[in-house]
Amino acid sequence: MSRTFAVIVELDDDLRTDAPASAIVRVARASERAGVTAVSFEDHPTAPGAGAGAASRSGARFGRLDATLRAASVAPITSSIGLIPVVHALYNEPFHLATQLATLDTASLGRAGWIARADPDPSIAARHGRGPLPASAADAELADVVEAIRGVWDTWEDDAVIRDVATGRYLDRTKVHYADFVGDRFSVKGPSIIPRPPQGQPVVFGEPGSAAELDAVLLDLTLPGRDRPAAHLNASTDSTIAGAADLPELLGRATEAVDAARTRLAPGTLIVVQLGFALDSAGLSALDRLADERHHTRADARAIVTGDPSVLVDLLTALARVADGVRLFPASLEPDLDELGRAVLPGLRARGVFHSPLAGDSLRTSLGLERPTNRFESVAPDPLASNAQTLEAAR
Amino acid sequence: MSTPVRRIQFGVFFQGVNSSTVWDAPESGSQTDFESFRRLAQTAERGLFTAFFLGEGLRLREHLGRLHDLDIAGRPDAITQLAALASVTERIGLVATQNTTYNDPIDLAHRLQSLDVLSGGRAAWNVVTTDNAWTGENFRRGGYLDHADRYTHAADVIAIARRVWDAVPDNAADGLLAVLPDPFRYDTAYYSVEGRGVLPRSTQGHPVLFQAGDSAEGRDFAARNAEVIFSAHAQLEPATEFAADIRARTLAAGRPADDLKIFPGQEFIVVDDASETEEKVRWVREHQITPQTAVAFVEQLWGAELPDLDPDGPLPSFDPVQSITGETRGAGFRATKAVETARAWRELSQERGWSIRDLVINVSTRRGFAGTASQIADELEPFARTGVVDGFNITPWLIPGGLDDIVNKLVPELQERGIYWTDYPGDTLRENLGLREPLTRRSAADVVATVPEAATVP
Ligand SMILES: Cc1cc2nc3c(=O)[nH]c(=O)nc-3n(C[C@H](O)[C@H](O)[C@H](O)COP(=O)(O)O)c2cc1C
Repeated sequence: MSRTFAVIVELDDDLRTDAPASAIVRVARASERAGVTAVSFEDHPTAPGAGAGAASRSGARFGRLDATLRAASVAPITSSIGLIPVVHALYNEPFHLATQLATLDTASLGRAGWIARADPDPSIAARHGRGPLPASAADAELADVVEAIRGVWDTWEDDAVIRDVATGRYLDRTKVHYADFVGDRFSVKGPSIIPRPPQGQPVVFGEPGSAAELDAVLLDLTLPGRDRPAAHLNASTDSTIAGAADLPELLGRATEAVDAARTRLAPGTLIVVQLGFALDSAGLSALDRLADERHHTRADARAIVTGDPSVLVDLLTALARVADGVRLFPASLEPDLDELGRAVLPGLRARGVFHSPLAGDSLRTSLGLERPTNRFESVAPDPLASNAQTLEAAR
Repeated sequence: MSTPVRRIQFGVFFQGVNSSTVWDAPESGSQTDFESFRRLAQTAERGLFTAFFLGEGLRLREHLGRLHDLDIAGRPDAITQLAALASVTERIGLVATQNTTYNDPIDLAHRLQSLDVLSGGRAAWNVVTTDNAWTGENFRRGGYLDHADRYTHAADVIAIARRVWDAVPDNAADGLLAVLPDPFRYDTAYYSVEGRGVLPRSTQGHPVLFQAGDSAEGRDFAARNAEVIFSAHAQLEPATEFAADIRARTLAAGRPADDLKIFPGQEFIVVDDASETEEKVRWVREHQITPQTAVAFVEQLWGAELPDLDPDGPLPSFDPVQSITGETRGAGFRATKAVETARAWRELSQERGWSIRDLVINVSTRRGFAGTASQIADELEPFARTGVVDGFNITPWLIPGGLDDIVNKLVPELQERGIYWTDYPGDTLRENLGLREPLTRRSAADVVATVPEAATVP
């Protein structure tokens, strides 16, 4: 498949609205109109910054509506963008996660991905009535969860539903299998309660160092050692601001990081670079916008590229030579999404490094990933049968 | 004093697993594509249905140790699917059947509340309590729960969910909390969890609670906790008995008698001409209970394969090889006393001259409403007069077109008779069901004040 550069935009919703559903619909539609490859939905099941000391903080923001549900809610009203929720995968039931993601893929006609997250926050373990997993065990657990979920997805072969009137059989049970996953902490019998999703396997994103089987890894692009212009930023982030002058350094870092990751990753794994951005818009400079308290930034410890849209076009054009895609964190959703659609993506298209997905494309197609064969498809296609078909066709 | 005419409401139960959906007819579409769900939900909304309802079964059904291959199968995750349907519907309620045994309560409460907020206050949770170790094999928390404890456990789960939903005050507007609520701990025999309310309340306060379960414990549980009961008693006489029982239990639980709405599951077969009814009903039944399905039904009770059984012949002359049926064919066929039931079936068949297939049709399918729109409306009027049900949860025998006749023909007929509304009365499911505030949010005074009104309920 041809190599494509993916532009994923994080739509972390800012629930400062009485109608969060309509806000989610609005930004998802705007993203599709802009032509981005996919949108992602951050998540944290307990309150943001709910750790010690947060209890009495006034003016705290609400938490987020479940990310998979937000993604599902925009599935039927969009037709080309990929939908990628963050899924906290250490303590949830893997069987439920598998069917939830398969449902998202089915409702979106094959546009689902997910970011498999192993968050050490003990408040997540506590809501499940568990103690936090030690860091040493967390990634192994995540790898098990991903493996179990992938197994559950495959339990139905693609042609398991036969509707054979003569024998009265709706299913061919030889094509439905038990997952029989057994890990250190849990087991899943299977089969799934929903057929194999349209993509076979929705696209799995994760951290580059993870032992989990991933289709794509997310790599932060940082500029450490910088003086952080605190006045320009929300006090809770460690982001650094980068402008046009920083592009060579950013690119150098990206190349180094991608090359290093590449050597450790399974061949074919996509590498997606994560980057914040804030663009000059409607006569207001990005730096001024960032300085305005109302526009808090959502990037953590990530470089935030600022300036004229051409700065981002230049950076992404160069990045397209080393990485497979970028996940962009807009500093403030609406103006930055506007600029992305108005100036950045057209600029990338003009340079031939990006094209937008078409209605009906699966996320795998948009990312240039093959549709995986089913692990349970034990019998190779009968060569005689396909010969017969060829003969039939030749007649 | 004349009896006030009440209205009948409709819900639709997209079954997803069962032999009641005819899959071999040419008009039968995909049982799993989103498009089928969208079409059914939008048709229901055009017909001003109160709710769109999804069931749940957390393990694929098995027949004698192998996957059951005759019925439709392959259900989406209910909450996720309803979130997708929320953006292509506006007023219809979205009811997710969710099991209390294999979910972490705070996680489940968070997802239900997310759906409730996303849909603008249209979410409901149909509480079910399946607890067997066979289903448990799909979960971290496996077969840990004794069947006898299913409802004390479910009560715990609901108590935790309510803590989550009630944690944030109503006046937290504009996405900002005056104060982030303190985390709460919940420690009982079943759970030791720490949660925190992090979401705004939906416009209906919190998700409406449905319950489906028919034992005495199940009914008491509903009377204490639920707002709608999804019952199995749809004919006038059993529905009347059921309503009297539920209303007594509701009063005993300290609630107004009409606090718990009753929606039996029911099938409707609409024809254009009365002379077609018998033939249409027979056609539907024979496609629901195919020869293979009839044999499998008997095998399920006998606990053995019966390869030579003739579906048009009599039941086996020997007794079942098991004493009690298992868990693997769903809630409708669990823990039946096999030998006794087989003898009763044999007697019944001999008495009526029934073949196996006739018998299975009679014991396993519903006696639904069948006839022209006007005939069905005649049958529904006594329900409206007596108020023994608040509505019917329609289980279409055809997907996705199974509501078309009901919405196009029956609904207008009922509207003309003044026993079906002509517009949604409200925006939230709670308003449309005519429910009071969630139970946790009423003061004692509210409850007392509503009792006289409730006392007029028969
Ligand atoms: C009308 C009706 C519908 C039900 N639907 C479901 C369902 O979709 N999923 C499920 O797991 N159980 C379902 N159940 C099973 C009940 O939740 C419950 O587990 C079972 O009836 C045992 O409880 P009981 O002894 O109180 O009846 C249903 C029960 C009834 C009566």
